[in-house]
Amino acid sequence: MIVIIDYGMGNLGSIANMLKQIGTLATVSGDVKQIEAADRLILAGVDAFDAGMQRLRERNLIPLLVDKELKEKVPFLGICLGMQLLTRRSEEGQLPRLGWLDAETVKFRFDGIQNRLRVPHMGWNEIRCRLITRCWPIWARSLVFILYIHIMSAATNGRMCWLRLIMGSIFKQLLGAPTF
Amino acid sequence: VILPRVIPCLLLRNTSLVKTIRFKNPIYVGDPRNAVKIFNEREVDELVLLDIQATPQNTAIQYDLIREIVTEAFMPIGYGGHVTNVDDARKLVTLGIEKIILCTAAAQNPLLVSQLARVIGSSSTVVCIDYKKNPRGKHEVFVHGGRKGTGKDPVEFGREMEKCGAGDLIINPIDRDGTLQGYDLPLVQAIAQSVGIPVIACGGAGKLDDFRLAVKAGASAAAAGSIFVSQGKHRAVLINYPMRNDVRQIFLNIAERG
Repeated sequence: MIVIIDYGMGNLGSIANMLKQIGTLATVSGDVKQIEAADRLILAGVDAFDAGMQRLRERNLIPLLVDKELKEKVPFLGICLGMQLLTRRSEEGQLPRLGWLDAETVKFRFDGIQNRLRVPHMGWNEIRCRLITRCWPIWARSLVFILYIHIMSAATNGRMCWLRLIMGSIFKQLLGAPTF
Repeated sequence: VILPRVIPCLLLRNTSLVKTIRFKNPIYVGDPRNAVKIFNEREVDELVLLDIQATPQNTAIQYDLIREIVTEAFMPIGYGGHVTNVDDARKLVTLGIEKIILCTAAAQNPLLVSQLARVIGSSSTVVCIDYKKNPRGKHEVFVHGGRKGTGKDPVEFGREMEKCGAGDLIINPIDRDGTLQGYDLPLVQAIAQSVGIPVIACGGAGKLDDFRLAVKAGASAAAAGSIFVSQGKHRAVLINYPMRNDVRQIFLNIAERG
């Protein structure tokens, strides 16, 4: 069973709706027992970084998630804030992150770049999957995300997820990879 | 390539969707939950939902209805209408709203924009700039559903909002609302050139090509009401949205035709 972790952040119902649409059942739950029993986990969310980490802490979910990920190695999908929480550090917050991704959450910098992109950007986009040597060290992990994207993509013509290039939310090493 | 967004802008009045002309004469166009289902099928990028009565009539945010709408939706929804403090915004985000749109509150209390940017993030903090020409012939930002002037110039106001941490600016000329005469392109351009955040053109779109013109003028997204909720000369109510590929084609044309 897929569990979408309910820690009081963001539009989890829409993720459940979307999974239902492609024929997959998922439960939205913050219940320790249900999360323990899950064989797939999704961590989503909208909000500031510290607020997200704080809520996970308040609900005593951190040790549980660490167990699920590091011991059981269940597939884990981070979306938006959920993905950012998996990094080691964020430029937008102080609290320590889960840190499973050897990456940092940093702001876009366009100094000296012509044709700068306007950020934050959020919208449907076409994604292309490219292997970038620079991000090899985290490739094994990011593969989880990428695989998910592809599985979901296949069912919905590549438009399952909205690309989210939030100010301060893109992984340096993951540029060109799943940055939503 | 980042594809520009095309955003239906839905107006809520009590529990119904309405469409206005120049912010007046609301006509009923449907039930918001049903509209969202139709927009889901068309893979709409994003929705803007504005409660046009909440601030002018000082009514409470309709959390229950908003929850029902959001739960139906596959796409991110921005909500505006009488959000006056961080707690309102948090509550809306918790029940699934992706972006908080401030209009009156942003003009009256720019500090709230900074607070929201810090608490829910810039990407979820949107400022809607309603403006029209004042008697002196200058553009002026209006609040309270177009009823009260602020003395602020929309371009300067846009810049101020970016500094406060807004992540999107909606450019909404009151006099074009519902008129189908096209966007206010000079102002879209002026604001887009003076800020680095995405600018959403709104108010006046009458045909798909207007989206292209907005993007050419520097907008990152095009929002529209009338053309997504009505059709034909007599404005028969019809919730609709172009096929994804048609939208894509419009923007690809920019590269070819300029």
